[in-house]
Amino acid sequence: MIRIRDLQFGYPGTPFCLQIPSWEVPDAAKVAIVGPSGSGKTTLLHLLAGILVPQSGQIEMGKAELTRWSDAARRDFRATQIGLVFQRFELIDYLNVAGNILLPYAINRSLRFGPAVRDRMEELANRAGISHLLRRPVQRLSQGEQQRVAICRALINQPRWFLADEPTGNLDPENKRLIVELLHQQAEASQATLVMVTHDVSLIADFEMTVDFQAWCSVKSDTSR
Amino acid sequence: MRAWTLVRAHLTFHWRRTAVLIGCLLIGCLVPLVLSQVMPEVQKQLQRRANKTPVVFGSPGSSLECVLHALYFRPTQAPPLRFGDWQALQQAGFERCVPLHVRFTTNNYPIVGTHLEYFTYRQCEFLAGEPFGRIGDCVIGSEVARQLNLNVGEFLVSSPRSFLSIAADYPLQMKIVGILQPTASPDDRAVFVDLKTTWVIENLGHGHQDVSQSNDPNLILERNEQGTVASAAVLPFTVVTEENLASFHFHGDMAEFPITAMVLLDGRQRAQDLAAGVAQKNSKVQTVFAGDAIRELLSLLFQIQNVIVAVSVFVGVATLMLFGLVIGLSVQIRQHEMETLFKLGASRGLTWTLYGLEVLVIAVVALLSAGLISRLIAWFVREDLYRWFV
Repeated sequence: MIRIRDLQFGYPGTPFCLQIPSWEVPDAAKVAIVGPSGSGKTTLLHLLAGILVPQSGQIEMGKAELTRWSDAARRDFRATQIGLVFQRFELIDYLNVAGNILLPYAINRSLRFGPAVRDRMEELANRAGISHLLRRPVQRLSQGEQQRVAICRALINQPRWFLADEPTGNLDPENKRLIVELLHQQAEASQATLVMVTHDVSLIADFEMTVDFQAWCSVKSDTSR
Repeated sequence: MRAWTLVRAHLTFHWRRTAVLIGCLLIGCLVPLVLSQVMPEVQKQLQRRANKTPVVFGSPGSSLECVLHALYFRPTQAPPLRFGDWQALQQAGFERCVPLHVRFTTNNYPIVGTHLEYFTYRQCEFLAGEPFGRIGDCVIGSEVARQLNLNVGEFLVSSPRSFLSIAADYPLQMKIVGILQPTASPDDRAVFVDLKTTWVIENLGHGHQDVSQSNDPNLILERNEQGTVASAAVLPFTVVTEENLASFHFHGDMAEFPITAMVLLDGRQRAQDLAAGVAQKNSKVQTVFAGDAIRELLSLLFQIQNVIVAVSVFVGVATLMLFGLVIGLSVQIRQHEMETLFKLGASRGLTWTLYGLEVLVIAVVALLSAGLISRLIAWFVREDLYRWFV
């Protein structure tokens, strides 16, 4: 379960301030977050992933209270429990498809690489329809293929929480549909909670929960700064 | 797959940038490394030749020029000695003193006029053929034979010193009678002839058709009781054969004929001191202890080496600054990538580990390559190193 209490976060030197009094998401739920640009959707995902730390309030991811943890502990938590998908895919151009999928194992010692991981990588690639591209440099892939690689990378560590930040923002309608289907399939297959930020209201029909960010939580400009 | 895999992938993916960085560092290191490997060998080679030729005699002037001429057959501008100077030393009992007359070249190799004893005292061995036995014969060094693809029985022609003077040297065709074994010394790149052959090339002696019985007015200018005066129409022989050998003769007093140096090939200290003493009585002869002159040369070379190393240090600092700039720019360009790694669970320290490993790999590859290349260069030039410095 994701549980947020009295969260307050602002970027230093900016008037932006995100306030969430209370929010809970049950395990294995699928949540879509919609809202206008600058409303704090991406900031919320970064807070849930432990990349950012709120000025006040609590964030609990399962039994882990992130707000009390050290940087290193949150980093290990992120590496082992969270799967992140970005709007611009953020693939590493000098690695091939397999290298990108296995990237979390190269950058964090909490994850142990072994034959099982390789098998899982192949299985994920197979499910995403990119098993024939594993040795190909990522810059030679189409946008849809690149996003599939990014999704496989997010799932390689078998995360409990799957956070997707506008994963269809750069895709055409056909690829959008395919990617959202893939996200749902993969989340269901791994029993992960899926939290997806999107601008596109046409994609929210398949989600169990939809949060209109602007209406639901308080994002205000702090004029006192 | 750990940090090393990322570093390797990044370096190989951006292989042009990697190659340029390695190349810059490599060039910066190469010059000092090559010098550090080459200079001890140069010192050894120069000293070995000097030790085998402890004393040289030449005209007064630069002692270093005198030694380089006598040991390495370098051209000299000093006036020649007299053959009589050598005869004086011989009469004083210095048998291991050998005259040299090095004024002419053939195919850019020096023609060294000397006596047969030169081969004996230098302990030269023959790859083919035998020592020269008469005027017009020559013995060539191994490198001359290899470069010009010459064998015993073939001919070499001396090169005139000037094409403009009608009184210049006459080209003499010399028959190759022997080829020396390689010695990794200047002897490999020289053409040895009898002293008299160099005098023939210098027009101090010649052979020509017998004009004593001729009545051709084009050939005979005057005939009197003292002999026959021939005209310039009588051409000298340009090759020495069995048939014309007897016609070769020299005009003037042989004791006044030129030689350019004398070398004492005697390792005994007493002989060296005595020879120096005898020669010093003659004010027109300079005695030089080759070891001293070579030490002087080496001292100069080491000073130059120090200057080159100092310049290399400056170049190295400039290279390192450029290297730092490239890495700095790379850090900026890769900021987004590092941010992604951080979001995926990497520590901030990993970023610096990646940069550090990259710099280390580039530096190690550059240094190892520089070490290997410098060794290869030193190995390839090891036999002829002295040629670069004398």
